[in-house]
Amino acid sequence: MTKSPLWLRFAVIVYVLGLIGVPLGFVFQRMFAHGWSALVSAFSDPAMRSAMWLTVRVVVVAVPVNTVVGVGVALWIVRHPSWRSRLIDRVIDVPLAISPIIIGLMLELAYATNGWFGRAEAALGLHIIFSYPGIVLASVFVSLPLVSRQLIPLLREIGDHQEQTAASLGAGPVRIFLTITMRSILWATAYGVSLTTARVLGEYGAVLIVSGNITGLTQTLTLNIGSNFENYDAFQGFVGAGVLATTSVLILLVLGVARHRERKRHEHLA
Amino acid sequence: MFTPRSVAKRVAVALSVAALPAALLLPTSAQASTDTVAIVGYSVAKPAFTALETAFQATSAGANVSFTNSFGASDTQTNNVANGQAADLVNLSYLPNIETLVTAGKVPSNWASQELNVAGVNVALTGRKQQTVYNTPGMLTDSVVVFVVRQGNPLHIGRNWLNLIKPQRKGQPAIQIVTPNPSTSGSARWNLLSAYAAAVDAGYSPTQTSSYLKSILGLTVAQPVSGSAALSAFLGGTGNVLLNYEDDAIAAVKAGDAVQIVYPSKSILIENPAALTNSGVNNPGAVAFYEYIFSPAGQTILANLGYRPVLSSVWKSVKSNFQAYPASGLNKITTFDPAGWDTLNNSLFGSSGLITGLEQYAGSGA
Amino acid sequence: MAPDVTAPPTTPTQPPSRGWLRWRASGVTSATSQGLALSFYSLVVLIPLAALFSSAFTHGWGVFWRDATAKEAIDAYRLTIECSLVGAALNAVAGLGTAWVLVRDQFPGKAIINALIDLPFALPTVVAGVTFYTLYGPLSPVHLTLTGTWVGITLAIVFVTLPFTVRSVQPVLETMTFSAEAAASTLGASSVRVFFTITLPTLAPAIITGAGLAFARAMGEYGSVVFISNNLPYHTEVASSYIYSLASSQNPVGAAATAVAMLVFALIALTAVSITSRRLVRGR
Repeated sequence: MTKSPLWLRFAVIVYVLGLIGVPLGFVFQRMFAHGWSALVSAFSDPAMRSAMWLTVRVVVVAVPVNTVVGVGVALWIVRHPSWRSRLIDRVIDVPLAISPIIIGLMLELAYATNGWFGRAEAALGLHIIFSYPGIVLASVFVSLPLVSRQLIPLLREIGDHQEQTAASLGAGPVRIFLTITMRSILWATAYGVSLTTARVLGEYGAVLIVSGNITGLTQTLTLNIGSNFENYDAFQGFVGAGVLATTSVLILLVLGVARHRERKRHEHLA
Repeated sequence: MFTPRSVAKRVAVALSVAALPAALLLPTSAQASTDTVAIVGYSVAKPAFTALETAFQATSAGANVSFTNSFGASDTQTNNVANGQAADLVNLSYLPNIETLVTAGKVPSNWASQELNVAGVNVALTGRKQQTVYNTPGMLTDSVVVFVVRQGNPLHIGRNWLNLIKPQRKGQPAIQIVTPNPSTSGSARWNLLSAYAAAVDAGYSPTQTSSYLKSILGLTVAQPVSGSAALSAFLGGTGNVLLNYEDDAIAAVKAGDAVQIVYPSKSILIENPAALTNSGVNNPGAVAFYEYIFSPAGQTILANLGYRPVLSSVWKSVKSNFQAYPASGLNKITTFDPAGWDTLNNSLFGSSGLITGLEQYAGSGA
Repeated sequence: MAPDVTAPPTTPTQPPSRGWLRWRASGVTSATSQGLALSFYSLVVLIPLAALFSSAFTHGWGVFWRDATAKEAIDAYRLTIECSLVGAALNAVAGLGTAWVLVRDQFPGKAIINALIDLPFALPTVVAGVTFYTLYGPLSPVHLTLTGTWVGITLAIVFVTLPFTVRSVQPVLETMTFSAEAAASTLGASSVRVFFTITLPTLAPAIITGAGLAFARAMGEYGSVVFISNNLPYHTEVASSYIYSLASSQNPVGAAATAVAMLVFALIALTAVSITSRRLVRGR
């Protein structure tokens, strides 16, 4: 293959660095702009600490739920097609195309106390909207397709003959799943899980609507950043932004490794 | 068979299974052993409540009380409480917000008379005499609409509402007004109501008033979602005149921001209501806190933060710190229209309201 | 798609073994787990969607139409669609160029550029929003003020949607063999002609799909555009921000109506993209 012209290479590098690299660098510059001691005291802000802890608690529930459901549904759609699985296949990509504000509105209309299920929830003593479960629900919604979308084309490509062989040799279904299926989809799943984690960490619009923004209770780190910025505490906002930018970079590294490993597996088999 | 890998897998599964219930059951910041009071307020009130809560917790009545706080644009907050957000005490920007909550069944209909039971404030007096101690029943704070400009007032903004829309001298940049969005913010409604009142006061006909408001909106360059977001945008460099609450402006000046206050010669008296909700009246901590914020101690704290206190004894002692208004310059909304917000909210900001209809001219120039 | 070379020779004469039957009857196929999956999707996606449509039409078609076509709504749609189209189109070209360079070239720092492409997907929208507002706002350190302009909104959109266009073209480029191009070159065609007549049509479906996803994402964008836009109704208010203000001001029916309109736009866009890319594939 001939190399692409020098001007194109230059243009692409400038474009990517300017568009993406500059804002990323700027976040860190603002975070450290007032020195270490200011940064350390910013971390002792109780609102931000609660926000960070809440965000962790949301990720710890939403990501495993989406992973399990995503892997299960991908297997179901590819290997056991039926009208039900075809329906889910159509619906799967919906969360990607809907604005997070609309997602928040939908969830509020369905699950707030004057929503469709409001009276049922009140009878059961459940608080969903304006409370922790609502935030988890919104986070699950927005990241729903991310694992499945990685796995469905891959599972279609691989086929299930390896599993069939193992089963005919007497292996049990759980063992087949863990040792054969998971191994072949491991890095694609890791890629999907990383995308899911990034999405859940970064959700803003949907959580803005369903959380009620209660400081210390339902204010996630993204809401905390927005709130600090709106209350003219830009530095505190950028400290929070720096935390999330750092996790984003870490996730990028995992994504890169997963992509690389997945390509290696593909080449190895081809 | 226990290979290191299979053990690792089992541990991972066990941890993730344990993580789920742990995450769900772990206590949140509010401990169950103390009395928790849920505060929901409009955006600008946040620093006031931070100060009030800290001071209250230092008293014997507040020693075991903890708070959760939610602040945002007034209409958004009202909406959330009506839709089920937990709240024991609400402090919103303007009266219709509370009335919405009464209709939604969240606030008792006698909310305005709750303050008459506040201890330490002439409880012995009854009826009309007791009511004169407070400015208007149910209102926690008073304020006025002010113009916030850059330090030094480089554009020489005057005190006349009607001159805001006059073209600038040659070489001077055009006026760029910042005010929040009237569909989400109570502050925005007070601002535009005052502009409307100034025009009507000056004897403008309905056509002239409409034209004036159209120009005001034409000169608006940003309509952020809430009062505090608007101040934030202004401090961040947007626009050159901010319409805002006096207390928010005073806080900005005190914080050393490079702004100064220009007092328009006329303003509607801003009155911000506070009420205990249906869950709040049964919450001893909330009731005690409500009494505190209406007491001389609470009102003094609010006065120090730039709010005009509603308790006449406190107002007498801090009056000199505030801009004085002639009798005709500062009027309650009811002086202007006897039905107050009940008519004006609809006629100005309703779906076919005057200002709602003029909103499309926002940003189109004078 | 690369041919599946790992498929073993089939043995159709053998009856299915008990082990294989047990595996097929295992958890994945059982009705309970399928039912669970359906209930899960219903609770999370389908029921809220139904609640949205139901709310939008609470007062009938007339009120729905009035809310969905209010002047502020129309202005919001127009602004959102225009900025999203420009952003998606720009990124379609930039995404192609970027994927081209990433696949065909080696240069120091390539891994960093490749990793950076995913950053807008990993970074929270609100972080992008406040960063762009500070960087390109009234106190911009680079003396570039884009607040309250469609340029500022489009810039934020371009940032957020680059990964979609790059990552949809990149895998196709990686598996291309360029043999047809090589043949055409030896026959004397200029490289420009080769690109436009051979390479581009092959890539067209992937480009269109990527641009379509970028467009759909851009239409719904909130956190990254709301700060830099100044949010002036009728002028710089994007659709999601307008829906938010309706939802917050005791007008859930109006918010739902506008949301339904936005969903219809997204559906039209995605259907058009899917039809176009399929037709382009078939036409080859």
